Amino acid sequence: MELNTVVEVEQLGFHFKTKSVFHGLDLRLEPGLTWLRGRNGRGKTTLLKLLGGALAPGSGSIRLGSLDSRREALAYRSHSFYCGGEAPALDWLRVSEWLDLHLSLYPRADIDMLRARLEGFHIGEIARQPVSGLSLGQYKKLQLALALALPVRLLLVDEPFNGLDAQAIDVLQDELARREAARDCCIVLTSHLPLRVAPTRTLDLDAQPGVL
Amino acid sequence: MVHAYTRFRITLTLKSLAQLFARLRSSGEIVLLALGPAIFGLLACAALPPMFAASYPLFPALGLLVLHAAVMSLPAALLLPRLLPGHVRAWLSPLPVPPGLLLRASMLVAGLLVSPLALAYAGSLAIWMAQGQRPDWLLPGRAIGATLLSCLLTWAATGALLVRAALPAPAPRRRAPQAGAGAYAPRPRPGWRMLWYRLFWLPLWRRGSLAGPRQALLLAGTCIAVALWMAGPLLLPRVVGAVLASVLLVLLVHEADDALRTQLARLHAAIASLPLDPRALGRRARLSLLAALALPLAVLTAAGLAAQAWGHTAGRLYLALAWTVAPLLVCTPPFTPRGRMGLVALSIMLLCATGSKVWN
Repeated sequence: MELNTVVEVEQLGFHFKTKSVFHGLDLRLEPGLTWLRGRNGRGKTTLLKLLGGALAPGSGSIRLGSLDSRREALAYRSHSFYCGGEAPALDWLRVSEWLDLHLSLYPRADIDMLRARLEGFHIGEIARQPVSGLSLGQYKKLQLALALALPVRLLLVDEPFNGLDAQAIDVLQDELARREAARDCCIVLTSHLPLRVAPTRTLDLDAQPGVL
Repeated sequence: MVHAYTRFRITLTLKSLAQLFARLRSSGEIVLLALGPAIFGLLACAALPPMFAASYPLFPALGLLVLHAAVMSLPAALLLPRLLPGHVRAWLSPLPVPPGLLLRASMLVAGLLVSPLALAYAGSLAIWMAQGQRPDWLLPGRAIGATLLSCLLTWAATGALLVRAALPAPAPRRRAPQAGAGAYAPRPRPGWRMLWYRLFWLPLWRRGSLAGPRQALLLAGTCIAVALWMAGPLLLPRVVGAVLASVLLVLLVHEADDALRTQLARLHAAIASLPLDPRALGRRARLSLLAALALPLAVLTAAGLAAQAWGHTAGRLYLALAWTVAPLLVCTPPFTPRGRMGLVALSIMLLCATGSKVWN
């Protein structure tokens, strides 16, 4: 099924037990690079997790093309990837096992691209290390290398520059610029650092209606 | 005044023990319920090994006491990953703690760990010494001295283990792998086997998890108990064999089910954004667990067939109950911890009662 790569958020409501985050949020994200900005605690990571299907909307809907994040959750998630979190989630796995697991869940992943990204980030030799033994920067690079090789329409990247060395930041900025120009998928990225590449759109949660 | 470092080590130990007891609470309650009198009987015999060792000449007695102390400090060695978890050790070892303080704190913690054993020794000694008719080999003065020495040796060994664990880790002896040795060779194998192996099997054995070794021990214990029950050696009455096999079988199912439920809860957040259906994953994981639990049940069935144990009504009933326990525990909702414990205890009692009639 050919998917339209537009994310539509309609009347999104979401709240944690102790805090309301969104109420009646409407968004439309076109292909290209969206820079998601906002003060700490405004809900950037929560929005990324909602867009990635890791959290379910309390009310309203999130659609990627024709796929609804709640009703067609599995199909939705197979076309999106949330790249974030600084503590490894599946921390009992080795790097190779972690990568194989993800590759088996996204069968159309570009393995050559993955190898190239691992080399590009200078982490081509860590396959036998436990994921829990990686440094913050290495884990970030591992997630990014995988994310950039997945055949997803919606890529959600949470604070990608935290912990990265200068060379890796260059690699990532170049890749973001290439993807921004190609406009073949929708990338939503949070960063407190300025981007070298001009984003397609800047979404400031401090000024966005529907953000509590 | 107690030094802050010593207070921290004691608090850490108490918290680790509290977590461990909370984890083992339901299993412990089941064991107490099923084997309570036998356990209290065993407690009375706690000081028997050092007292018996004291009846030998000095040097063999000392050797036996050292060996006994080493065995008694094994639980502390097994608990070390819980008492001093890796992340705490990594934070603790670079601190400028004077060796004397490290030793005092470790010995205090060791004392805390050994104190239940010391109490058991005291109770056991009191029972044996208060007896009107003592066995000939029991020499009161030497027996008390030997028990005290064994307790002190256990304390010293436990303290040494704790000191060693709190020191900075020695440099690894193995050389670092050659460049290229860790290069990634993709082997994605879509399918349930790969998912089960990575998401449910590996976590049992890695990151200091004791769930895998515990289940392996229970599995081995169950198979051995079943074999002994069916073989019926002179030293082991059939009833004891039936009780042992039944308790171990139910505890194995309960442990495996508990580990699976814990892992499913852990995966819930970890796989939330991946294209995996947690409900389907849970269903398939339970089916796989039931398939794995068929192994000890197959051993039970085969051993019973060879020993002609299933020919009568009690035998057939026992076999049917044994095969029912696993799906009953694995497929029912968790209820409350006490409800769960009740279900497990009921399974044990039914199996023990039926099992004790198999050879009648």
